[in-house]
Amino acid sequence: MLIVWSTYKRIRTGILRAVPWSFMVSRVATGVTQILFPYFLYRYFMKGNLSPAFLRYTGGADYITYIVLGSALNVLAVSTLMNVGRALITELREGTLEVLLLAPASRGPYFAGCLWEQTARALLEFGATLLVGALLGARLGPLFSLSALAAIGLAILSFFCMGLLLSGVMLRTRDTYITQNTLFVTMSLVCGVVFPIPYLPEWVQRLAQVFPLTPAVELFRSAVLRQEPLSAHPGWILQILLLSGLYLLAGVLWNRRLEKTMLENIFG
Amino acid sequence: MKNIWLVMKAEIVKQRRHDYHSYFVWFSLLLWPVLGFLEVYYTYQPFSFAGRGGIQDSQDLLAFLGTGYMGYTCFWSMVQNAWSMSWEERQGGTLEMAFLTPANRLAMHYGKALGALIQEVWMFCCFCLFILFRTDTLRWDNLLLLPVFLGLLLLASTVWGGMVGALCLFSRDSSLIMDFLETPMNLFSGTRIPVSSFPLWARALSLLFPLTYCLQLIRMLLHIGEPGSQMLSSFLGLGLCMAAMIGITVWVTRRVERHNRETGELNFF
Repeated sequence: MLIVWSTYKRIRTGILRAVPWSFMVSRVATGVTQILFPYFLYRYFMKGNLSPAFLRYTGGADYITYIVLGSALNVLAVSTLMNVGRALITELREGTLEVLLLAPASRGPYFAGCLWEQTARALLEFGATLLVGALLGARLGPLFSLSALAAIGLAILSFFCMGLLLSGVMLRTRDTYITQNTLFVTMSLVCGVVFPIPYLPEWVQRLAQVFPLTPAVELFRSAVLRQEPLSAHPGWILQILLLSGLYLLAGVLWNRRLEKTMLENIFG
Repeated sequence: MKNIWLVMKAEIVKQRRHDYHSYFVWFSLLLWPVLGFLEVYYTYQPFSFAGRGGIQDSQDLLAFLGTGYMGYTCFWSMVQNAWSMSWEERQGGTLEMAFLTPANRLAMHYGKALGALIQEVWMFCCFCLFILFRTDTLRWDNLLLLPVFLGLLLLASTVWGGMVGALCLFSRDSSLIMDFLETPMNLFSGTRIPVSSFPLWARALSLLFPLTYCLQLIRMLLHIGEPGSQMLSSFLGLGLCMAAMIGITVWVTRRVERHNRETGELNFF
């Protein structure tokens, strides 16, 4: 617990002192942008002229609520993946990785500290996106139900597990720019963030199931849009848990192997 | 004139040597824009858009988005490049050269812009041209329009790039420009939605971006979307915008140099 707390405190202090605004502002901007374009499209260009297929795919959902929920969860996914995934390589770049690897503290609590620190910030971004969405007319009343909150919790868990693997990949390839951007651009295209995925070709839909965001966003929407209890969709929950387990396992194994060789070629 | 050309050429060569060194360019220049383009295309799918804004079917939509994205990518790559270049020059210690060199300042700015433009957008432009050919917007009989609108785009974005470059080069905290420009330019200049469908306030905002006029002209040339608007007024608008941009570039550069001569500082704002 002590490790979790000290990791939290250290990262938070670093962020507040070095880049207090830029990280958060730009991500809120991403969420808001993702809402603004479909909003303009819907409100001014198409004047609410939805196709029957959309209503069929989504069970008659309200379009604005639909995209606001998707974009908000996408913001949450991006920040969790980004902050957990970049944790180790940031240590490397700032020159503290060696110290971290030599410390007796284990990795688990360290990443838990990263997660805790970042969730507090990510929820702010998430909230800001939802707030803008509500101002634009999304009906977010049922957001404060048990099943919606549980869906958010499940989503954060799965993003965290994916972030662990990502952190290993980034450390191994010494790259954040290509990995993160390719991942995020792909996710926002295929995971059904602003449009239902049945519009995509079938093989892309199958690819989308690899990302936990796909079932998570469906689950979140069913809880808020249709107020269904989580137990109505055991398949999605199972998928999220299964993916989380797989990413967790892969991440832990990869990181453990990586650490063994890490110290030797840290300057390589 | 020969000197100006020499300076521009030097800047272009410098850009190429500086940027083209890793495979990441393929990602940022082709893969990401194409994925972004597809996302926008699919965002249109939930709507039944028969006949709105002169867009009849998905062919028209692809042509509309193809031109929009081509223009946007040209303009946006200028912003991005100016921003990253200003960092590189600052960190690499070559910014002082900009103050000391006898080279023509405007030629320097436009050389930087042109160099980045030629290298950074050609791949995605090829993708857009492919789409325009596929959707029969460009055909053998109107192929002569291609150099016209490419030239227009090149000219407008170079002037734009010169301005953004001048703004970024002489300021340390210019990432704000990125935030201010990225979303509004994409949304209001009609990259993804026809400006004519906007409410009045949004249309007024769209007049601020030179990209708006540029896209209007290109789409008029290629007969995409609604006829309606006047060629002449778009030309005038673009001309006015370009004159203003050149004015700003010259003014900023002069002010910065005077500031530097008086205080020795490399930061202006």
